[in-house]
Amino acid sequence: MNGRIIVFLEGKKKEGLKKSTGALLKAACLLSRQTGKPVEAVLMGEDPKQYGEEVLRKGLNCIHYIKSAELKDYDVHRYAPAFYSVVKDLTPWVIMGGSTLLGKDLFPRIAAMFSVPMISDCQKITFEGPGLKVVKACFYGKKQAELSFTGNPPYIVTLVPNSAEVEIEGQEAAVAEGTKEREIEYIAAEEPKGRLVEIIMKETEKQDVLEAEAIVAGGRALKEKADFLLLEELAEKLDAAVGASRAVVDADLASPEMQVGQSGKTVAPKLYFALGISGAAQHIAGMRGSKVVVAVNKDKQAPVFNYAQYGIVGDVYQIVPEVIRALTDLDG
Amino acid sequence: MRIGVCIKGVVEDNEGSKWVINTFDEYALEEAVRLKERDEKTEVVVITVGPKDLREMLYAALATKADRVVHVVATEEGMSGFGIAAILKSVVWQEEIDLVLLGKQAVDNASHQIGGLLAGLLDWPQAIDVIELAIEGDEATAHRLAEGGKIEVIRARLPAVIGASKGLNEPRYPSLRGIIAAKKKEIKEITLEELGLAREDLYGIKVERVFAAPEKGVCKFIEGEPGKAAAELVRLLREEAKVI
Ligand SMILES: Cc1cc2nc3c(=O)[nH]c(=O)nc-3n(C[C@H](O)[C@H](O)[C@H](O)COP(=O)(O)OP(=O)(O)OC[C@H]3O[C@@H](n4cnc5c(N)ncnc54)[C@H](O)[C@@H]3O)c2cc1C
Repeated sequence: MNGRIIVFLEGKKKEGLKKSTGALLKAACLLSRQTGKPVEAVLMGEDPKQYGEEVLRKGLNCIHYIKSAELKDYDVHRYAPAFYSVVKDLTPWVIMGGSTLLGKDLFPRIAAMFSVPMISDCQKITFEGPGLKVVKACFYGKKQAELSFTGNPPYIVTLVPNSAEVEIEGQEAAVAEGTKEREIEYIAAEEPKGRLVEIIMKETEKQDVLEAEAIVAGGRALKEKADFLLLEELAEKLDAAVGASRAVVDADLASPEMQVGQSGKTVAPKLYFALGISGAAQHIAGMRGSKVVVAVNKDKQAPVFNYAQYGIVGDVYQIVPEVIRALTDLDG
Repeated sequence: MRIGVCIKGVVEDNEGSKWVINTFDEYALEEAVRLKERDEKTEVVVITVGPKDLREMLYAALATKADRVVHVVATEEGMSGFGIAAILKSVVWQEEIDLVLLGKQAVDNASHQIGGLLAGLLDWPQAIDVIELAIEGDEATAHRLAEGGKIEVIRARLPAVIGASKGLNEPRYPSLRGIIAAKKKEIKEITLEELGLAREDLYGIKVERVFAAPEKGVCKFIEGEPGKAAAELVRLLREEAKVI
């Protein structure tokens, strides 16, 4: 059985590869060991080689750098054709990437170009017999489905960032008797009909809840915008992102991209703090995949406690500063 | 201009309850109606793929200023996102749609696939996760939510696919007049065969089994005054849960 395992890797300018690429590479290397198929990474951008050294340490079979000034900023109209033009010639068996905001945008378009189905937000990927099996959440996170591909490759999958279940045993490095490196200068065959014309930045760039390993989320218990500063302080201690329930987003105390839940983002961090959040079904649907949930609520009957491992019945305004203090003591 | 709004029927929480429009598709529908209000010549065609008993939901969609419905009668069961997108593509061609609006994802399985798949299959430009949209002539300008609250502005020549996110608009409640008018509007039912699609092409993914998501177990309540409880929580997160 030939075919290659292609992993799309995302970097973050100064910080190097995104954290979520760790689990992705582990999953790819595990598949590689089970199948004997090579793992090859694809990096794209204006200067994709800036992550080269870091990827080289992962011991993959090959790294493809797709380079172009046009790929400086992510734009699906440029990224999808560039990725497709290179990967189609690599006899891909599996194509995988993170279900990050970028991945969610890019992969469906790539699947259409390959004319194959894809499975998004996988929590687990295993190789069984000749095929690939994955597990993903469905029905508002209340259920999970085990799915397999029945058609011809490539099989396109995206992995939930930090999904508790993505923790795969073993080291990252696969085979690698020396990694091949290949640079491709990409020139678009035609001018796309849509394009990115501007990026409007936030004053301060914050971690996105979708990719954070820990999330500190606030609910209606919070009365003012300024109260979120308290959550930010806690988040900083935990290297967490700040999330919010819909109630506080609707009240304009938090911005829309912070919303977790059925009509917001579906997240699966290692640690989730639900602070003054009642635990409505629509909120739970978005955070049920979290590994460890801590709930603080003054109402002992709040449903959120049914989904938490640790609970404190109390006032968030009293508890949160104490948690920050306890974490500071730990540092000291 | 003819706008196609793709809507998905979802069953709310408790099993057996009725079909409702996927929340994100409601934003798409509202946006289409607003475009129609700006330009009378615009026609809004609601497109759905789903089982036969979606009538009530479709009347709810028509109670807005949407003009008519094309309902591809097929059970979604086991169909891949690719399959759905392939069906929608056929309808979009058949109906000569100029602009597709749909929700960025379905609330039940949150797959976030159809917009990008459909745009890719049609080879149309796309903007998914859109919170602001302007159409000027045959050009669309869309603001989409990117990482960490950054906003990416996409400009596309129509035809295009736009995936609506929360924040695009505030869908209004249908008026009594709208509800009455809805019953007189056309709901065209078509089959996969009529679209010239073979069922096999629409799968490619097999559901092996579905099971309940793992339970979290019993919540451990940490008692004591705030300072003590917080310190104990931090200890447990470190030593027991090993997450910090
Ligand atoms: C179609 C649809 C989609 C939806 N999508 C989402 C979604 O994506 N995300 C989402 O979150 N919701 C969503 N909702 C809304 C959801 O049903 C709830 O209304 C919402 O989650 C409630 O937010 P909350 O928990 O912050 O507020 P509340 O339910 O009001 O809960 C506040 C909690 O804080 C506690 N509290 C108050 N003060 C304090 C204090 N000082 N200290 C400690 N605890 C305190 C209270 O005991 C209470 O439990 C959706 C609803 C619908 C109908």
